[in-house]
Amino acid sequence: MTDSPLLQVQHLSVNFGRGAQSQTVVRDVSFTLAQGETLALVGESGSGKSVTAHSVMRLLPYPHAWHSPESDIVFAGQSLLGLSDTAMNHLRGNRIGMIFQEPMTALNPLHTVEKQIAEVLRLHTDIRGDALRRAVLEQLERVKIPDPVSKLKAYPHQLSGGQRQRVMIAMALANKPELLIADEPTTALDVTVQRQIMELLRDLQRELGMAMLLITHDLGVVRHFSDRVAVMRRGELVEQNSRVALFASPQHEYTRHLLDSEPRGEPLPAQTDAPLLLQARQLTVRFPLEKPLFRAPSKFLTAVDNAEIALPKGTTLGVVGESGSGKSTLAMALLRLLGSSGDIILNNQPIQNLSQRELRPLRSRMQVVFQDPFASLSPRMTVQQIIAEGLEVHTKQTLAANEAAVIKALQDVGLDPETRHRYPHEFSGGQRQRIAIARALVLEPELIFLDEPTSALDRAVQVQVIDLLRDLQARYQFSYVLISHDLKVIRALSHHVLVMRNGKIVESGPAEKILNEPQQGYTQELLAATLG
Amino acid sequence: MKLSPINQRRLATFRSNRRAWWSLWIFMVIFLLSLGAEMIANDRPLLLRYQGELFFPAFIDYTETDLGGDFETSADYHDPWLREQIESDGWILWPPVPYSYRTHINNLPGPAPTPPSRDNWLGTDDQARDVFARVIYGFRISVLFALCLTIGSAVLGVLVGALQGYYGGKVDLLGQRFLEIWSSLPVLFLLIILASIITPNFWWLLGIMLLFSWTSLVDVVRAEFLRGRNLEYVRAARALGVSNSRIMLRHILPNAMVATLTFMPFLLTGAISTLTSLDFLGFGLPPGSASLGELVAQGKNNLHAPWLALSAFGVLSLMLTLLVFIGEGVRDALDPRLVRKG
Repeated sequence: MTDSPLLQVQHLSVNFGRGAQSQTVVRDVSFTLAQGETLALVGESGSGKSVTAHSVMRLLPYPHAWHSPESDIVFAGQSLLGLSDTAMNHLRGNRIGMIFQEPMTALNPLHTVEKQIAEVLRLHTDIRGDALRRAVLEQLERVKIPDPVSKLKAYPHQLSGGQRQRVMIAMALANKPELLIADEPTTALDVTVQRQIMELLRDLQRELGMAMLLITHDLGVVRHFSDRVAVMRRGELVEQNSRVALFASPQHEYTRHLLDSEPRGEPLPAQTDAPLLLQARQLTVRFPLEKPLFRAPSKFLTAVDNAEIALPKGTTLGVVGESGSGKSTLAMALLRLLGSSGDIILNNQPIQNLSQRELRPLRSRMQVVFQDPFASLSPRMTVQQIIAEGLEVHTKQTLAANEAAVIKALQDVGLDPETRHRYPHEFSGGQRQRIAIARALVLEPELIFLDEPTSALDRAVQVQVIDLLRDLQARYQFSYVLISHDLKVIRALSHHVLVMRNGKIVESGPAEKILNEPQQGYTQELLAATLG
Repeated sequence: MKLSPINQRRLATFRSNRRAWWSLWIFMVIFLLSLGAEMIANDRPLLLRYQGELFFPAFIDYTETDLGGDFETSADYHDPWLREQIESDGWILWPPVPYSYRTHINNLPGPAPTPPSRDNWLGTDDQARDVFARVIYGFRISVLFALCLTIGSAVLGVLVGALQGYYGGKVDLLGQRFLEIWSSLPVLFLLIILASIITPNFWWLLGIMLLFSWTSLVDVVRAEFLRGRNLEYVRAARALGVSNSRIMLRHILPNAMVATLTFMPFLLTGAISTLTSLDFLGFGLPPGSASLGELVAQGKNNLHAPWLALSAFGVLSLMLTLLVFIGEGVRDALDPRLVRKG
C-alpha cells in the first residue's frame, strides 16, 4: 500500500467535435480514488459521468473526442492520456476492469461463457489448456453462479439477466484488477437481483482489495455501497464528500435537490362506493411455443394466468412485478391489443369478443402511456400531429377545434402550447413523457394504462411526472392501471396493488395492506430488496 | 411544404456530397434536354414561313400541297426541290441536328457507316442514320423506360412488402413462398418466348419486366414493416384506435421509404442495363427504334467503324456512372450512421 492514491483525475475536460460544433461534455473534473475505496459518481443522464469513466479507460471515440491540454489521468503513477495504445491495451482488462450497464449487449451472443472469460485470461496471462479451463471455472465460482460447470458451455441468451451480469463481473475481475469501473451495473436488473449483484461486488472488492469507481443514478445504491460520493451535473463536478457527510449535510443546492427527489406523496383519497370501471375475469394470455404447420399448437407459454382484476372509477391499480412477470402483457391484453381468453368488462360492457372495428369507438375511453418516451413518439411527426392523431380518428371536428384541444392538453401537462409545431427530438425525456400523456388525455379517456411511465426518466423528472399524474387524476377523475417495478412509484399513486410473478397474481389488495404487511413470501422479498 | 428536420439534415448531407450533387444536376440537365429531343434532332424544321404564313412542321403534319408541292403526301423537308420552293418565298428554321433517329440520309459522302463529320457529329450507322440523333433518342427512351419500371416496381414492391410485413403470419408465409417460386422463373427465356409470339413494344416490355422486377424491393420493405409494427409509437397508434391502413401509411411507411429510396437509383441502373442487353440481343424494342443496345450491336458488327461502339459506350457509361454516383449520395444521406460525419 502506498500513500499516493491509485487513480488521480486532474482537471479532466472532454470535448466532442472540432471547430464551431465542438461541445464540451465534461469540464474540469478532478477526483482521486484510493486503493480499496469506492467512489460513487452520481448524476442524471447526460451529466457526463459515463464519459468521465470512459476517459479513464480511453474508450471514447478519439479523435472525434479530445481532452484539453491541462487534463490528466494518473493511474498508479502512470499518466494514462499520454500512454501508447499497446501500453493501454495492457492495462485494460488487466489492471483496470470494467462492467457495463447492459449485460445482454456487452457480451458477445455467439460465444460461450467459457470462451469469453478465457479470452480475457489468455490476453493477459500465460495460462493455457486445462489450467485455463480451471481458471475460468474458478472465476465463475467466485461470482457465485449456480451450477458453474454447466454454465461454461452456455451462451449469453441462455442465462438470466442477473447471471449475465455475474459473467460480466467474472470477466472484469478475471485478472484481479486494481481498479474496477462499474458503469450502472444494476440499472438493467430487477430489484431482487440488483441487491444480490451489489452485495457480490462489495464482497469481491473486499476480497481482492480493489478500488471501485461506481457510476450510478440510483441513490439507494450509493447509500449502501459507497465510501465517497461525487455529484456531477452538466459535465461539472458540483460536490464531493464522504458518503455519510454528503447524505447528512449536502452542501450544493443541486445535491440537495437530487437527495430530495424521491417519489413521494400519497394517492388521492378514493371514493369507497365508486362503480367498477374495468373488470377482468380469468384473463389468460398464452403464446404458442411452436408453430406446427397443420395442427393447432400444443405447447404454450402462459404469460398471464387467470388474472382477476377489478378497478373502481377514479382509482389507481398498481401492478408490481419483475421483468418477465407478465405485467405489460396483462395491460396489452386488457387493451385488446393482444389476444387473450377470459372476460374483460369495461363500464358493464363486455369487450372481449368485439371485433377491432366495433372496438374502435371504445378506444378513446382507454388510453396507454408507454415506458420509453423516445420510442413511443413518431420522430417524423410534430407534437401537434402526434397529439391530434387520436382526435382525427375519434372526433370528426374541424382543424381549429383539434388545435384548440391540443393546446389545452399541452397546458394540462404543463408544456408551452407554442412548442406544438416542434418535433419530438427537440424535447427532453420528461417533456416527451408529458407529450405522451397529453396524447392520451386529449381524448378525455376514463382509463389510462401507464406502462412503467417513469422508468426511463431521471429521478427528479420522475417526481414531476408522478405529481402530474396525481394532479390529473384529481382534476379529471381518471382511473389508472399503473405498471411498475419501482415500489416507490407504486406507493405514491396506487389505491390497490397487485403483485405478479411468472404470469400469476401472487397477492392483491389495498395498497397500504400489501405494501406494509405483505402476506406472501415473494412480496416480502420484493419489499426487502428495495434499496431505500 | 416544410421538410421535417430529419429530411432537412439528409438533404444537407446529400448536398455536401459534391460528386453526387453535381451528378444529379448533370443528369437532370441531360434528361430534360433529351425530353425535348424533337427540338434538338429532327428531320423536320422547327418553324418555317411560307407565303406569309407560319408553319410548325415539327409538331403538325403538313402535306406537300400545303407548301406548294404537287403530292398529297407528307412533306419531305430534305427534298431539295421543296426546300427551294419554300425558301423562294419564306425561310426555314432547322433544329441543331437536322436528322431524326429514323432518318435515312441519302446524300452521304461515302458508303454508310460514315465517320464523324461536321454534318454528322458522331458519324452515321450502317443504315445511314445519324448516330448523335439516335443517341439522344436512345438516352430518352432508356431513362423513361427505367423510370417507369422503377416506379412501377417500387409501388408494387412496397405494397406487397407492406402487407406481408404488417400482417405477418399466414399472409407473410404464403407471400414469401410465392415470391420464392416467382423469382426463380427464368425471365430471359420467358422474354425470348414472348418475343416470338408478339412483337414487343415499349409497353409490352415494360409490363413483362415489371412482372419480375417488383420482387426486389419486397424483402427490404417487409423487414421494415416487421420491425415497424412492434415500435412503441405504432402500438400507441393502435391503442388510439387508428386504422391499419393509416398506421401503415403514416407511421411505418416513412421508415420503409428510407430503404426504398436507397434502392431506387440502383434499380434504375439495373433497368437501363436490362433494356440495353435485351436490345443488344434483339429481343427488345421493335426494329428501327432508337435504342442504345442496338447501337452496341451495330458497333460489334462494324468493328471497322469504331465511332459506333465508342458512342454507345460513352453514353451508357456516362449515364450509369451518374446514376451510381447519385445512388451512393442518396444512400449515404439516408444512412443514420453516417449523418454525424456529414
